[in-house]
Amino acid sequence: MDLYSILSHPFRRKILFLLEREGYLLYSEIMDRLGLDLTGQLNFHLKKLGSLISKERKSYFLTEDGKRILNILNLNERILAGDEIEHLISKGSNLNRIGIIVCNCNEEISNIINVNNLTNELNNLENVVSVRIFENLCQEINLEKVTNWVKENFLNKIVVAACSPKSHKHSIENMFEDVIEYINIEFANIREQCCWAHSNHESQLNPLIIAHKAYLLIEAAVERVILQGAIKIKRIEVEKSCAIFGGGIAGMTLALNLAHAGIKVYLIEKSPTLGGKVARWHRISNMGDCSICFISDLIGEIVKREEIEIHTNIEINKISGELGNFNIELIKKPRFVDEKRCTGCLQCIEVCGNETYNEYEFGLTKRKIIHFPFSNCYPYAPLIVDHDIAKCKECRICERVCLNKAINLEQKTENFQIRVGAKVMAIGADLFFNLHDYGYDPTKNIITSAEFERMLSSDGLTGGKLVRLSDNQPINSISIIQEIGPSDYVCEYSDDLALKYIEDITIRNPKCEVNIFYDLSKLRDNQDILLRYTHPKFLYANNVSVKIGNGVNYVIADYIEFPSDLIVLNHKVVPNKDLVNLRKTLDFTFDEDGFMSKETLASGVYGVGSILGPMNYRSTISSANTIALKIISLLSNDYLIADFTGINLNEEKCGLCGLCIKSCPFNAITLDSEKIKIDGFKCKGCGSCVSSCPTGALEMNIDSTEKILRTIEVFSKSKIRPKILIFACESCGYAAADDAGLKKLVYPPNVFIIKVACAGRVDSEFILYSLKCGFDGIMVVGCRENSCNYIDGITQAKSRIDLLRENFEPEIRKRIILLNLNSIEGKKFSDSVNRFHKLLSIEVRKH
Amino acid sequence: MTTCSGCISTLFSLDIFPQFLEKTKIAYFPYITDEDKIGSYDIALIEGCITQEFQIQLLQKVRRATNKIYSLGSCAVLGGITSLSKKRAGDPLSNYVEIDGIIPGCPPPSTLFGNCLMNLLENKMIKLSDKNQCYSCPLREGLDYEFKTKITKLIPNNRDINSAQNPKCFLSQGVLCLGPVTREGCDNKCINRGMPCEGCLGSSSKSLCSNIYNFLSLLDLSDDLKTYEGIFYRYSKPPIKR
Amino acid sequence: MTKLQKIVEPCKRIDGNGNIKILLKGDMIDHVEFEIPQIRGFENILVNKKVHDIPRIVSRICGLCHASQAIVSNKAIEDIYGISPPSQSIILRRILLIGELIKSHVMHYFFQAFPDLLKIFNFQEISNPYELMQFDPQLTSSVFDLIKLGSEIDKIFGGRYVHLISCISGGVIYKPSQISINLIRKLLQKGSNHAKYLIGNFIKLFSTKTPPSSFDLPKINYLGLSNQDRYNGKIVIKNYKNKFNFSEKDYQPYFDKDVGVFGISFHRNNNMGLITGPIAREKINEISVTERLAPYFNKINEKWKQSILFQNFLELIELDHEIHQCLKLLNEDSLNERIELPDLGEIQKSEGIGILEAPRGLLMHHYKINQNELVIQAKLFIATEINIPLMNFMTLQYARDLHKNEAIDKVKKKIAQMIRAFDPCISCATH
Repeated sequence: MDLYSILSHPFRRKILFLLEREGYLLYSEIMDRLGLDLTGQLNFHLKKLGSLISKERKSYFLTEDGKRILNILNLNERILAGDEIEHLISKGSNLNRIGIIVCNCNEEISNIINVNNLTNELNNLENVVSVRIFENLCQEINLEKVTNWVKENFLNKIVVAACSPKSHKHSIENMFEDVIEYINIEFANIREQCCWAHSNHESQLNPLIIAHKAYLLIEAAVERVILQGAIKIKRIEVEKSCAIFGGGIAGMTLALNLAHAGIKVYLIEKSPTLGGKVARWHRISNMGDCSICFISDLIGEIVKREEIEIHTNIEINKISGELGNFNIELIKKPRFVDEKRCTGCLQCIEVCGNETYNEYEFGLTKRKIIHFPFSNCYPYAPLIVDHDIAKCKECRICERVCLNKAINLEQKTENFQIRVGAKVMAIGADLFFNLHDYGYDPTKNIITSAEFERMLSSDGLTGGKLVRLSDNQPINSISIIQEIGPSDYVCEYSDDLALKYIEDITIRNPKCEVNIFYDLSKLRDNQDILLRYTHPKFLYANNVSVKIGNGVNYVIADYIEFPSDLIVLNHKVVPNKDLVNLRKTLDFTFDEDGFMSKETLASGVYGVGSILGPMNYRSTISSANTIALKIISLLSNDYLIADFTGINLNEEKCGLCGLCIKSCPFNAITLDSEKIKIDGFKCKGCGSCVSSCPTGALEMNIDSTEKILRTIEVFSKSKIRPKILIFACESCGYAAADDAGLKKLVYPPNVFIIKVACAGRVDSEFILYSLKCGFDGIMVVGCRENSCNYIDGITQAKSRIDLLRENFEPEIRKRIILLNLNSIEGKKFSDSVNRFHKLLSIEVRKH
Repeated sequence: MTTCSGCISTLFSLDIFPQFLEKTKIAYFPYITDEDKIGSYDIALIEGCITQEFQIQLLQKVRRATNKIYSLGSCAVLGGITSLSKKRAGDPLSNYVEIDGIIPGCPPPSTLFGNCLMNLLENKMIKLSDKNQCYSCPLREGLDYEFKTKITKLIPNNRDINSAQNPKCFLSQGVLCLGPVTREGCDNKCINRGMPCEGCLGSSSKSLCSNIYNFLSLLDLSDDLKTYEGIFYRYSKPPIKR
Repeated sequence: MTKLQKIVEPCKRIDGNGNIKILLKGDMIDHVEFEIPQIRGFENILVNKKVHDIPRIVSRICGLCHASQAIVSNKAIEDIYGISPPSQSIILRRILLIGELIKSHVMHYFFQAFPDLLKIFNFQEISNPYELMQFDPQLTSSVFDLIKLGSEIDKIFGGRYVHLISCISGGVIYKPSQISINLIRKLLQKGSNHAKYLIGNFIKLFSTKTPPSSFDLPKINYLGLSNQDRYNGKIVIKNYKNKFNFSEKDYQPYFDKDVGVFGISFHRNNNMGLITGPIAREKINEISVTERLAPYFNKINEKWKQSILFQNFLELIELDHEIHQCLKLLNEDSLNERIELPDLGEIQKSEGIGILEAPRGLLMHHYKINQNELVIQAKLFIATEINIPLMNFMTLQYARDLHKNEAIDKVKKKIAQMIRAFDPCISCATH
């Protein structure tokens, strides 16, 4: 029979979908799910389905053919729904046929507790179909045995009671790959955190108590696996292109790199020309070339590549979408000159009668209103700045004079959109300009390093000659004051820059005296500076100031006066002022100095160049190269699948309060047109948002709140006091506990450990619930404060627990502690647990 | 139970109260009846928290005699204002017996209360919103998702209440508002009047207390508020087993 | 020695749960006491609370006189900060107090006192609210309308039916629209007719009857505020021959209380009973002589005026009176202004006292605070607390009288009637 007639009936399609979701279904269950009363009807449909399904021991399941057909059906559904990019895969099941494997680990377990008794007890648990002991589960010989056992018992969920999931989770998950979804495998750590931790050759604790703990650990795992529902996973097709914001050296180098790899690049520049700051500089240190020549070379190469689309004079309007597929809305501001028509004949500039200060020469000279930013700029066409346009509209001489009709004073802003798979920030940094303390005044010969670059440059304001700006007299003494700006960081290139200046000055005037000053009082890590570089001209003083004299100025370093014809203030770069605004559209985080944080690199937006902090030419190029590699490897995927250890949003419950946005360390959550959106690729599944969500709208796909609360309940059945509950973060706390087990460092068995992704996942609810359930002590074990796997998860946990503790009476306050450990501090872990246990024992005895 | 009678007072004020009396047969209502024996009932609305031994027995008796029990008001649902008491904080009913539904609020908001009663009369389940106050908050426009403002005040300055033309979210004014952790359903009465939310409706998920802890740990709170129990235990106190 | 036998009977149809406790010595009634359940401890709760947080907390003392509690607390706080609310806010506060009084009085009169009156004067034995409602359907609908009126006033001016939002220290947040004020005005006019009907109904049924002499008040002192507006004034203590008044600031020589312990001790009048509430208000302010109300009083049998049952009539009179007051207040020009409320500013004094007349009588709050604006001591003087000694005294006499002829089981049911006539508020009393 042909496929289409098989699939034509909705019941038959439904049976296939049911079997896909549940794996195995009994005849009666299918009846039930379909809401059928007559067996005849179902028999008919089952018969029609023919080779797509098969039956074994009263249960029906999909054959290989059936699975293939289902894939096609799912695809069809997607296409019909017009759902082109996203694809939701449903995993999990509502049916519970649970199998328990107890791995004896070469008799490591049975040496301490009676494993047979344990399995007998476990057999009585509800929903548990079969309990098996394996000697060494992790060995590959067991593969066939295990899969057969699963198939024979129609198991769909499994609890593995064995060593720590940190050691063999992945190999065991691989083992079950073909028979069980790995969200349906739960682990009970009965080796490191039970048998090994409560018994060594010196002290042997009561094996019955240890066995009971093992039983509770497994029971909790069973409860957890029962609570595991179906989850949804997101898949995104990758758009093979990249947007680079910022057309300076970093942006252009990266664009070229990506273009070489065949990636479509949008090079987007805010100002009317490519080149960035360096284009205005005299030359780049340690390179013979003058910088504008170097830049024009680079621009020339870029313009040639057809993979690169250049957009200048652009503002970003809005960015939506997620890693792999962004939609960016851009606004092109008018330049009032058609770049395509203009030939660069300069006629318009000649006739222009309006002058204004030339911001490209730091306001030291004047320029025409219609102007070129600098020679060799790209695109090579003049422009009029927006706020001057009113004047131009009164005059319109240039419009008439232009032969190609390139000038259009009525030009409007244009909106356009691009789709890209990745976005890179290369907008560079700003220069520190709060220079009152140093008497900054170009007309009095106190200038900044950037202005000095222009002075050295042959197309600059003095034509490359060293003359005083006040009276055009030659300069015979120059003082350069280094590192002016915020004291928290130093510019790694300032030494190089000073050396370059010495070189440049000596070429122009060999007799000129040059002194380079460092003010140590204004630098936080001044020891590093002292060690860094020594050149006879470098003077390190504890106090550097400027005195303005009559005709000649002085630099005073530690009370010694240095008369100077010219004082150059070598100012630092500071974070780009646009950064704060762009953060909202581009989402990245800041580092402590206010630059873009390098941590952000992992979460979908990349940064290159001095947006990340002060960088010299070489570092800039190498950062561009590194990022290029990352982007190339990202865009080489056809699609991306989000990790399903992440979170799920129930919009029915979401009240849009935004607490999740605040708590997410990765900026993975955003508010987009009155909806909370989670970027599954940025999300690392730490669960901080889940613990801060007040309505339960956010929930972990795997480690749900319900599961953890249920685990607390099961553990609270332990009768021995004091009972201690530990919430341990997966990467550090839990690993430290394992470490204690591996080292056989003994602590009491009435200590139970619950694994959480991150300490930030520890909800106050968990702690309050544990107290309600009768735990005497609660311990949260997370990473060390500056090395949290999830940036600030541990910080959030700390402030939460501090708040909680502060509001309890002292006797309850004692019962809650937070510990910061790294993964190998097993000794510290067991010591702390023992100490805590001792303290609580005294308390318990008191009452 | 232990109460201020505010819920009863609200009940009498409801538009549908006369209708409610008509459609039901009030069997036991100490406020207006002389009846002192517990019979058997279809529905019990219980107001007030548990502070004394005899109340537990009475409650259990009612539970045995009743088909459906609903906790009425914050005292019965959460423990209520007596949670602030050091001597004996009131316990919610659910600490002692199983509860079939809640009508929260101090006092229960009239529309919510009225709708709940209508549902009960029609033998339907009570349906409460799962969302929080922010969802319908009139000041949501001005919410700053960074939550950077330092929170220093419990209530706004008097001057700001009556005069503000375009009021901003309380949190960005430095005033503590528990709206984010509080269930929606009172038409944001307090916020509309210029006062921040106190959380009397409780949370829609997890306990109110833990939500307050989670929430406040994300904020920049002034030191005097950090340990001010008037925030944390205003309507409920976490039960702790010794 | 004869053993004491203790009889405890829950008292129904009052606000809250209270028990009547009778101690029998042999067959003699030794002691009758209205037993109040455990105190909730608001005086302790208030300690260490921020002073501007207090009104929101004390409002929760009582769901019937919530507005009085909140406003008196605001007054005490304003005393501490040395500010006075704008006149608009005072008008609004009085309106809110009126709304609360209307509701409280009507609910007590109809559901709690009226069935007793019907029984005492042998009209009908009412055993459940449905019989009560059918007794006079017009009366019933008037009562529901009046309850609604009181509620709506508080909802429109205060934000909700109980535990008002807009009562803050420094004034009243004011946002109602002109439409809602007009609505209230209409409701008040209707309410005035209902009040008339209630009074007429009372006169028709009971004016010619003579209340049982056991309900007669002994020679007692009346405690109340000197002003009729129930908001300002001096504290007045008055009896059949003397009358003296003093400012609330000087209350301590006259009476005081221990924090957290039930009961107020009156230093000068220990042997004489004290009463506060509608009866005391009438004795002090004599609204009965006003032109509009005097005719009603003339129709009442003089005997009534010594009885505690007269309180029920006075509740209705106050209803009518306050509805008219409210109509007047609504016409005040200052209600149309949009005003700014004063900020609390700096603490001026380390303690503050607030006072007003709640529906059940004199209400006073006294707070002491520290430099951090946290309360270190709070004393709450509450009307029911003042009335209880007299109530116990009278019920004991009544019980002894009754017990001469009747079995103790009947006695304990009957004395509940007297307790209800006092309109005790358990919520308030268990503050």
